[in-house]
Amino acid sequence: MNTARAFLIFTLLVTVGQTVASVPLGGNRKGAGGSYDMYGCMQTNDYYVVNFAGYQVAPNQAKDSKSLPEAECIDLPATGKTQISIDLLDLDLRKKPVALKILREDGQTVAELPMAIAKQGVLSTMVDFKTAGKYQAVLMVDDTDLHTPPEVSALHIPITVALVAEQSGGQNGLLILFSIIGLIVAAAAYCVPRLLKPQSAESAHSSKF
Amino acid sequence: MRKIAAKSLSALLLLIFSPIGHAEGVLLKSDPKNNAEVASFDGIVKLWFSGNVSERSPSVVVVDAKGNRVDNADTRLVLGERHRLTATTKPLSPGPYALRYRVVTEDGLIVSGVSKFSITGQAAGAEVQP
Repeated sequence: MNTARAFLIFTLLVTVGQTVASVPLGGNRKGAGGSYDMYGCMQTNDYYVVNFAGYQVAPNQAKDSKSLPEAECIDLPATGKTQISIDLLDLDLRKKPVALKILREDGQTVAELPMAIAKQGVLSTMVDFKTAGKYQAVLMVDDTDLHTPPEVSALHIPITVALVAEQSGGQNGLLILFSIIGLIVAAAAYCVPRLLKPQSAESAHSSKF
Repeated sequence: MRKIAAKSLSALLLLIFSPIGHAEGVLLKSDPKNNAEVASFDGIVKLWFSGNVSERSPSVVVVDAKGNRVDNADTRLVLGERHRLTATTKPLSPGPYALRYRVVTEDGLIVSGVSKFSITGQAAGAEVQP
């Protein structure tokens, strides 16, 4: 009986503990630089904080629940249609009008969400990135508390499209460098004892006679 | 009967206090207080938090009634028993001000918000520290 009561209490405690446990907002999301951490793809300026995600579906990818696209951070691996999603992590922003623009490097707008209240705290838009290059997502807030002009407090999120190869090229460069160093060390480990060996053999020979 | 009552009470206390043990970042208090009318302002905004606050991306922005930024962009977070977030301001003339604050917890949760205050006394501000 006591065991049953103890089990009940334990179950209740575990349940409550789980209820108040924090849910990492960026969990299972790729962060800047392609790494995964608790914070996901958190983007901030002095005013606001958001979580950025880009979902790219390969044209030949089946659209079923088992092959949901992975949330990419600000370095999108390929051109093409991309679902850009921005989570407003400042809760008060869900009551304030917000607007989103996706700009090309030359400043031309490629997608735009007009100023509106996002009650669910998520801004989402489909963007067709036709060319590789640098882009920018600009989040503007009509902050009725601060009265700061939206363009002043705007959160600028730099995005790269299909430029990841350049970064991996850099990583490859490091790999090549370390490989060369490894080869030199291996060659030295092989050659040095052999260079020293005849000398010692000769000395041994001379000492013998 | 007493044993059962004692056990039930213990369980109840555990249930009540166990969430506090897991508490995420919470704003405990701020100086100036929200909606305070301040006659003498030392030019330093201070906010205290509890919980597992991380050093990642803390921020304080202070603006005047027109939305002009009046802080010195020198947000400082001191982690301790009660984490203290501070920022200094330029000399503030009488009028309403708003401040936006933010800290991020170790779990990636955001504690942010807006607090307002008014200066009623003479201009005051903190010197920018080098």
